Amino acid sequence: MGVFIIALLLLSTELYVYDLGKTIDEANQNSFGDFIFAVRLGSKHVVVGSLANVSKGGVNQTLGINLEEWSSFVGRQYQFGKCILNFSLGETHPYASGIWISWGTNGTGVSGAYANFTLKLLDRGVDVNLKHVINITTTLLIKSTYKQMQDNKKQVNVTCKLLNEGTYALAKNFTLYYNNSSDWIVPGPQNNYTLMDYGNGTYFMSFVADIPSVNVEVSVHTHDWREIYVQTNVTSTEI
Amino acid sequence: MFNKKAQIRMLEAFLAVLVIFSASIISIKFSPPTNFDNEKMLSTLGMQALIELDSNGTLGKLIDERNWTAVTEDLKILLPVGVSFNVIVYDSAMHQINDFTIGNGLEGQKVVSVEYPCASQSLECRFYLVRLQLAFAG
Repeated sequence: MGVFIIALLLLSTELYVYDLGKTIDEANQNSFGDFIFAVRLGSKHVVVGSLANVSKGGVNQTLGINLEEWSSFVGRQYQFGKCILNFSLGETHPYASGIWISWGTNGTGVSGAYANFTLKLLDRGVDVNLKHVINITTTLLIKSTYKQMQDNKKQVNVTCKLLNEGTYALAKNFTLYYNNSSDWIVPGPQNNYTLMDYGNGTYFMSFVADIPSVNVEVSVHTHDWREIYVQTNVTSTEI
Repeated sequence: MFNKKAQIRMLEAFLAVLVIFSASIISIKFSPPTNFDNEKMLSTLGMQALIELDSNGTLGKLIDERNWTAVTEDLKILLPVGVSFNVIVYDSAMHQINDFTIGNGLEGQKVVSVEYPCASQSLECRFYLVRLQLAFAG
Protein backbone atom coordinates (compact mmCIF):
# COMPACT_ATOMS: atom_id res chain seq x y z
CA MET A 1 0.00 0.00 0.00
CA GLY A 2 2.88 2.34 0.89
CA VAL A 3 4.38 1.79 -2.57
CA PHE A 4 1.08 2.65 -4.17
CA ILE A 5 0.83 5.91 -2.22
CA ILE A 6 4.40 6.90 -3.11
CA ALA A 7 3.70 6.13 -6.76
CA LEU A 8 0.66 8.34 -6.70
CA LEU A 9 2.61 11.13 -5.06
CA LEU A 10 5.33 10.89 -7.71
CA LEU A 11 2.76 10.86 -10.48
CA SER A 12 1.01 13.94 -9.17
CA THR A 13 4.35 15.75 -8.75
CA GLU A 14 5.24 14.90 -12.36
CA LEU A 15 1.92 16.19 -13.56
CA TYR A 16 2.48 19.41 -11.64
CA VAL A 17 5.98 19.91 -13.04
CA TYR A 18 4.75 19.16 -16.57
CA ASP A 19 1.93 21.68 -16.28
CA LEU A 20 4.27 24.28 -14.82
CA GLY A 21 6.78 23.83 -17.62
CA LYS A 22 4.08 24.12 -20.27
CA THR A 23 2.89 27.45 -18.88
CA ILE A 24 6.42 28.85 -18.63
CA ASP A 25 7.08 27.85 -22.27
CA GLU A 26 3.95 29.69 -23.37
CA ALA A 27 5.02 32.76 -21.39
CA ASN A 28 8.47 32.59 -23.02
CA GLN A 29 6.94 32.37 -26.49
CA ASN A 30 4.89 35.49 -25.78
CA SER A 31 7.90 37.46 -24.57
CA PHE A 32 9.79 36.13 -27.59
CA GLY A 33 7.30 37.66 -30.05
CA ASP A 34 7.02 40.90 -28.10
CA PHE A 35 10.80 41.26 -27.96
CA ILE A 36 11.09 40.76 -31.74
CA PHE A 37 8.41 43.40 -32.30
CA ALA A 38 10.12 45.84 -29.92
CA VAL A 39 13.47 45.37 -31.71
CA ARG A 40 11.90 45.97 -35.12
CA LEU A 41 10.15 49.09 -33.86
CA GLY A 42 13.36 50.37 -32.25
CA SER A 43 15.33 49.71 -35.46
CA LYS A 44 12.79 51.78 -37.39
CA HIS A 45 13.11 54.65 -34.92
CA VAL A 46 16.90 54.55 -35.24
CA VAL A 47 16.66 54.72 -39.04
CA VAL A 48 14.17 57.63 -38.85
CA GLY A 49 16.29 59.55 -36.31
CA SER A 50 19.47 58.99 -38.30
CA LEU A 51 17.83 60.13 -41.54
CA ALA A 52 16.54 63.25 -39.79
CA ASN A 53 20.10 63.90 -38.60
CA VAL A 54 21.66 63.40 -42.06
CA SER A 55 18.96 65.48 -43.79
CA LYS A 56 19.90 68.39 -41.50
CA GLY A 57 23.58 68.24 -42.38
CA GLY A 58 24.85 65.20 -40.49
CA VAL A 59 27.29 62.83 -42.16
CA ASN A 60 25.99 59.77 -44.05
CA GLN A 61 27.87 57.47 -41.66
CA THR A 62 25.49 58.49 -38.85
CA LEU A 63 23.06 55.73 -39.82
CA GLY A 64 25.70 52.99 -39.65
CA ILE A 65 27.11 54.27 -36.35
CA ASN A 66 23.66 54.51 -34.71
CA LEU A 67 22.59 51.06 -35.91
CA GLU A 68 25.86 49.58 -34.63
CA GLU A 69 25.12 51.02 -31.19
CA TRP A 70 21.50 49.82 -31.32
CA SER A 71 22.59 46.27 -32.25
CA SER A 72 25.01 46.22 -29.35
CA PHE A 73 22.36 47.58 -26.95
CA VAL A 74 19.71 45.07 -28.06
CA GLY A 75 22.21 42.19 -27.78
CA ARG A 76 22.61 42.95 -24.09
CA GLN A 77 18.89 43.11 -23.30
CA TYR A 78 17.43 39.70 -24.21
CA GLN A 79 16.90 37.82 -20.95
CA PHE A 80 16.03 34.34 -22.18
CA GLY A 81 18.99 33.62 -24.44
CA LYS A 82 21.20 35.22 -27.03
CA CYS A 83 20.10 37.96 -29.43
CA ILE A 84 22.17 39.02 -32.45
CA LEU A 85 20.96 41.90 -34.61
CA ASN A 86 22.93 42.31 -37.84
CA PHE A 87 22.31 44.92 -40.49
CA SER A 88 23.54 46.00 -43.89
CA LEU A 89 23.02 49.44 -45.34
CA GLY A 90 21.67 50.08 -48.83
CA GLU A 91 24.63 50.65 -51.16
CA THR A 92 23.04 50.24 -54.57
CA HIS A 93 22.25 53.41 -56.50
CA PRO A 94 20.80 55.86 -55.40
CA TYR A 95 21.81 54.88 -51.84
CA ALA A 96 25.21 55.50 -50.26
CA SER A 97 25.81 54.26 -46.71
CA GLY A 98 22.07 53.59 -46.58
CA ILE A 99 21.16 57.21 -47.32
CA TRP A 100 19.54 58.77 -50.38
CA ILE A 101 19.40 62.55 -50.52
CA SER A 102 18.14 64.00 -53.78
CA TRP A 103 17.01 67.60 -53.62
CA GLY A 104 16.59 68.33 -57.29
CA THR A 105 15.56 71.33 -59.34
CA ASN A 106 12.78 69.43 -61.12
CA GLY A 107 10.18 69.76 -58.37
CA THR A 108 11.03 66.48 -56.63
CA GLY A 109 12.98 66.21 -53.38
CA VAL A 110 13.73 62.94 -51.62
CA SER A 111 15.32 62.13 -48.27
CA GLY A 112 15.51 58.37 -47.79
CA ALA A 113 17.21 55.61 -45.82
CA TYR A 114 17.40 51.87 -46.43
CA ALA A 115 18.72 49.06 -44.26
CA ASN A 116 18.41 45.25 -44.21
CA PHE A 117 18.23 43.51 -40.84
CA THR A 118 18.77 39.96 -39.66
CA LEU A 119 17.60 39.16 -36.15
CA LYS A 120 18.89 35.91 -34.66
CA LEU A 121 17.47 34.68 -31.37
CA LEU A 122 18.91 31.67 -29.62
CA ASP A 123 16.79 30.34 -26.78
CA ARG A 124 16.38 26.97 -25.08
CA GLY A 125 15.72 24.71 -28.07
CA VAL A 126 14.71 27.65 -30.26
CA ASP A 127 16.75 29.12 -33.08
CA VAL A 128 15.02 32.00 -34.89
CA ASN A 129 16.38 33.85 -37.90
CA LEU A 130 14.27 36.76 -39.05
CA LYS A 131 14.98 39.12 -41.91
CA HIS A 132 13.34 42.46 -42.45
CA VAL A 133 13.89 45.64 -44.41
CA ILE A 134 13.39 49.19 -43.21
CA ASN A 135 12.89 51.76 -45.93
CA ILE A 136 12.11 55.30 -44.82
CA THR A 137 11.41 57.89 -47.51
CA THR A 138 10.15 61.43 -47.30
CA THR A 139 9.25 62.84 -50.72
CA LEU A 140 8.31 66.41 -51.58
CA LEU A 141 6.63 67.12 -54.91
CA ILE A 142 6.01 70.70 -56.01
CA LYS A 143 4.40 72.30 -59.03
CA SER A 144 4.44 76.02 -59.69
CA THR A 145 2.69 78.31 -62.12
CA TYR A 146 2.71 82.09 -62.48
CA LYS A 147 0.49 84.71 -64.03
CA GLN A 148 2.08 87.85 -65.49
CA MET A 149 0.54 91.01 -64.05
CA GLN A 150 1.43 94.64 -64.76
CA ASP A 151 5.16 95.52 -65.11
CA ASN A 152 7.30 92.83 -63.49
CA LYS A 153 4.64 91.76 -61.02
CA LYS A 154 3.80 88.10 -61.10
CA GLN A 155 1.31 86.04 -59.17
CA VAL A 156 2.88 82.69 -58.28
CA ASN A 157 0.90 79.62 -57.23
CA VAL A 158 2.75 76.64 -55.75
CA THR A 159 1.19 73.25 -54.99
CA CYS A 160 3.14 70.93 -52.66
CA LYS A 161 2.59 67.27 -51.87
CA LEU A 162 4.43 65.56 -49.04
CA LEU A 163 4.71 61.79 -48.81
CA ASN A 164 6.07 59.37 -46.21
CA GLU A 165 6.87 55.96 -47.70
CA GLY A 166 4.66 56.78 -50.68
CA THR A 167 1.58 57.81 -48.73
CA TYR A 168 0.47 61.37 -48.10
CA ALA A 169 1.78 62.83 -44.86
CA LEU A 170 1.55 66.06 -42.92
CA ALA A 171 4.32 68.62 -42.78
CA LYS A 172 5.56 70.18 -39.57
CA ASN A 173 6.49 73.43 -41.31
CA PHE A 174 7.04 74.92 -44.74
CA THR A 175 9.30 77.68 -46.00
CA LEU A 176 8.81 79.01 -49.51
CA TYR A 177 11.44 81.04 -51.37
CA TYR A 178 11.37 82.74 -54.74
CA ASN A 179 14.30 83.97 -56.79
CA ASN A 180 14.13 87.62 -57.80
CA SER A 181 17.06 87.13 -60.16
CA SER A 182 19.67 87.92 -57.50
CA ASP A 183 18.50 86.53 -54.13
CA TRP A 184 16.27 83.93 -52.66
CA ILE A 185 13.50 85.74 -50.79
CA VAL A 186 10.79 84.50 -48.42
CA PRO A 187 7.46 86.07 -49.40
CA GLY A 188 5.67 87.86 -46.58
CA PRO A 189 2.37 89.66 -45.95
CA GLN A 190 3.52 92.46 -48.29
CA ASN A 191 3.41 89.82 -51.05
CA ASN A 192 -0.16 88.73 -50.17
CA TYR A 193 1.35 85.41 -49.19
CA THR A 194 -1.20 82.72 -48.33
CA LEU A 195 -0.74 79.08 -47.34
CA MET A 196 -3.63 76.65 -47.54
CA ASP A 197 -3.39 73.26 -45.82
CA TYR A 198 -5.80 70.72 -47.29
CA GLY A 199 -5.10 68.37 -44.35
CA ASN A 200 -4.20 65.45 -46.57
CA GLY A 201 -0.55 66.17 -47.32
CA THR A 202 -1.38 68.72 -50.03
CA TYR A 203 -0.55 72.39 -49.54
CA PHE A 204 -1.22 75.41 -51.72
CA MET A 205 0.82 78.60 -51.54
CA SER A 206 0.29 81.84 -53.39
CA PHE A 207 2.07 85.22 -53.50
CA VAL A 208 2.62 88.28 -55.69
CA ALA A 209 6.15 89.62 -56.27
CA ASP A 210 8.32 91.72 -58.53
CA ILE A 211 10.34 89.23 -60.54
CA PRO A 212 12.09 90.69 -63.62
CA SER A 213 13.06 87.33 -65.12
CA VAL A 214 10.70 85.14 -67.12
CA ASN A 215 12.20 82.16 -65.28
CA VAL A 216 10.32 82.27 -61.98
CA GLU A 217 12.20 79.89 -59.68
CA VAL A 218 10.68 78.79 -56.39
CA SER A 219 12.13 76.62 -53.67
CA VAL A 220 10.22 74.80 -50.92
CA HIS A 221 11.89 73.57 -47.71
CA THR A 222 9.99 71.40 -45.27
CA HIS A 223 10.22 69.09 -42.25
CA ASP A 224 7.80 66.22 -41.86
CA TRP A 225 6.48 65.22 -38.42
CA ARG A 226 9.45 62.85 -37.99
CA GLU A 227 11.79 65.86 -38.30
CA ILE A 228 13.09 64.63 -41.67
CA TYR A 229 14.07 67.59 -43.81
CA VAL A 230 13.57 67.79 -47.56
CA GLN A 231 13.70 70.57 -50.13
CA THR A 232 13.31 71.02 -53.86
CA ASN A 233 13.30 73.78 -56.49
CA VAL A 234 11.24 74.19 -59.61
CA THR A 235 10.88 76.73 -62.41
CA SER A 236 7.32 77.99 -62.70
CA THR A 237 5.40 77.70 -65.90
CA GLU A 238 3.39 80.66 -67.17
CA ILE A 239 -0.35 80.35 -67.45
CA MET B 1 -10.29 -10.01 14.67
CA PHE B 2 -7.29 -9.98 12.29
CA ASN B 3 -9.55 -9.46 9.33
CA LYS B 4 -11.25 -6.48 10.96
CA LYS B 5 -7.86 -4.78 11.63
CA ALA B 6 -6.74 -5.38 8.09
CA GLN B 7 -9.97 -4.00 6.76
CA ILE B 8 -9.56 -0.78 8.81
CA ARG B 9 -5.95 -0.41 7.55
CA MET B 10 -7.15 -0.92 4.00
CA LEU B 11 -9.85 1.71 4.44
CA GLU B 12 -7.29 4.07 6.03
CA ALA B 13 -4.89 3.61 3.14
CA PHE B 14 -7.64 4.07 0.60
CA LEU B 15 -8.75 7.30 2.25
CA ALA B 16 -5.12 8.53 2.40
CA VAL B 17 -4.72 7.90 -1.33
CA LEU B 18 -7.98 9.65 -2.01
CA VAL B 19 -6.94 12.69 0.03
CA ILE B 20 -3.48 12.94 -1.53
CA PHE B 21 -4.77 12.40 -5.04
CA SER B 22 -7.54 14.97 -4.72
CA ALA B 23 -5.08 17.45 -3.20
CA SER B 24 -2.71 16.96 -6.14
CA ILE B 25 -5.51 17.38 -8.66
CA ILE B 26 -6.70 20.56 -6.96
CA SER B 27 -3.18 22.01 -6.80
CA ILE B 28 -2.49 21.24 -10.47
CA LYS B 29 -5.82 22.27 -11.91
CA PHE B 30 -6.51 25.41 -9.95
CA SER B 31 -3.78 27.25 -8.10
CA PRO B 32 -0.62 27.23 -10.27
CA PRO B 33 -2.20 27.74 -13.71
CA THR B 34 -4.29 30.65 -12.40
CA ASN B 35 -1.18 32.40 -11.11
CA PHE B 36 0.73 31.82 -14.32
CA ASP B 37 -2.19 32.88 -16.50
CA ASN B 38 -2.40 36.11 -14.53
CA GLU B 39 1.33 36.68 -14.87
CA LYS B 40 1.18 35.94 -18.58
CA MET B 41 -1.77 38.27 -19.01
CA LEU B 42 -0.04 41.07 -17.06
CA SER B 43 3.14 40.61 -19.05
CA THR B 44 1.23 40.72 -22.35
CA LEU B 45 -0.77 43.77 -21.25
CA GLY B 46 2.43 45.57 -20.26
CA MET B 47 4.27 44.82 -23.48
CA GLN B 48 1.25 45.72 -25.61
CA ALA B 49 0.89 49.06 -23.80
CA LEU B 50 4.59 49.88 -24.32
CA ILE B 51 4.51 48.81 -27.98
CA GLU B 52 1.40 50.95 -28.56
CA LEU B 53 3.05 53.94 -26.90
CA ASP B 54 6.24 53.42 -28.91
CA SER B 55 4.59 52.71 -32.28
CA ASN B 56 4.93 56.31 -33.50
CA GLY B 57 7.97 57.17 -31.39
CA THR B 58 6.00 58.80 -28.54
CA LEU B 59 7.63 56.74 -25.77
CA GLY B 60 11.18 57.67 -26.80
CA LYS B 61 10.18 61.32 -27.27
CA LEU B 62 8.61 61.53 -23.79
CA ILE B 63 11.69 59.93 -22.22
CA ASP B 64 13.97 62.33 -24.13
CA GLU B 65 11.93 65.19 -22.68
CA ARG B 66 11.90 63.53 -19.21
CA ASN B 67 8.13 64.02 -19.30
CA TRP B 68 7.32 61.37 -16.67
CA THR B 69 3.85 62.79 -16.03
CA ALA B 70 2.87 62.19 -19.64
CA VAL B 71 4.32 58.63 -19.53
CA THR B 72 2.20 57.92 -16.42
CA GLU B 73 -0.95 59.37 -17.94
CA ASP B 74 -0.50 57.49 -21.23
CA LEU B 75 0.09 54.18 -19.46
CA LYS B 76 -2.96 54.79 -17.25
CA ILE B 77 -5.01 55.08 -20.45
CA LEU B 78 -3.42 52.09 -22.17
CA LEU B 79 -3.56 49.69 -19.21
CA PRO B 80 -6.91 48.36 -17.97
CA VAL B 81 -8.49 49.63 -14.77
CA GLY B 82 -7.39 47.47 -11.84
CA VAL B 83 -3.79 47.14 -13.00
CA SER B 84 -1.25 49.00 -10.92
CA PHE B 85 2.16 49.76 -12.38
CA ASN B 86 5.54 51.29 -11.78
CA VAL B 87 8.11 52.26 -14.42
CA ILE B 88 11.87 52.52 -14.18
CA VAL B 89 13.78 53.94 -17.14
CA TYR B 90 17.48 53.21 -17.70
CA ASP B 91 19.79 54.84 -20.22
CA SER B 92 22.11 52.83 -22.49
CA ALA B 93 24.69 52.66 -19.66
CA MET B 94 21.96 51.17 -17.42
CA HIS B 95 21.75 54.18 -15.13
CA GLN B 96 18.28 54.91 -13.82
CA ILE B 97 17.17 58.25 -15.24
CA ASN B 98 13.70 58.81 -13.80
CA ASP B 99 14.05 60.81 -10.61
CA PHE B 100 10.26 61.04 -10.48
CA THR B 101 8.03 58.08 -9.64
CA ILE B 102 6.30 56.85 -12.78
CA GLY B 103 3.20 54.86 -11.95
CA ASN B 104 -0.04 54.74 -10.07
CA GLY B 105 1.29 53.07 -6.92
CA LEU B 106 2.24 49.45 -7.43
CA GLU B 107 0.14 47.20 -5.23
CA GLY B 108 -0.76 43.53 -5.46
CA GLN B 109 0.50 40.16 -4.36
CA LYS B 110 2.04 39.03 -7.64
CA VAL B 111 4.23 41.56 -9.44
CA VAL B 112 5.28 40.94 -13.03
CA SER B 113 8.17 42.78 -14.65
CA VAL B 114 8.62 43.33 -18.40
CA GLU B 115 11.58 44.97 -20.09
CA TYR B 116 11.30 46.95 -23.27
CA PRO B 117 14.26 48.21 -25.35
CA CYS B 118 13.37 51.62 -26.73
CA ALA B 119 15.09 53.87 -29.26
CA SER B 120 14.14 57.51 -29.58
CA GLN B 121 13.70 59.14 -32.98
CA SER B 122 15.71 62.16 -31.89
CA LEU B 123 18.67 63.34 -33.96
CA GLU B 124 21.06 61.87 -31.36
CA CYS B 125 19.26 58.46 -31.37
CA ARG B 126 19.25 57.67 -27.64
CA PHE B 127 18.51 54.18 -26.33
CA TYR B 128 16.60 53.30 -23.19
CA LEU B 129 15.52 50.21 -21.33
CA VAL B 130 12.03 50.59 -19.89
CA ARG B 131 11.23 48.27 -17.00
CA LEU B 132 7.49 48.10 -16.37
CA GLN B 133 6.31 46.37 -13.21
CA LEU B 134 2.64 45.41 -13.09
CA ALA B 135 0.21 43.83 -10.66
CA PHE B 136 -3.49 43.33 -10.34
CA ALA B 137 -4.48 45.83 -7.67
CA GLY B 138 -6.26 44.54 -4.59
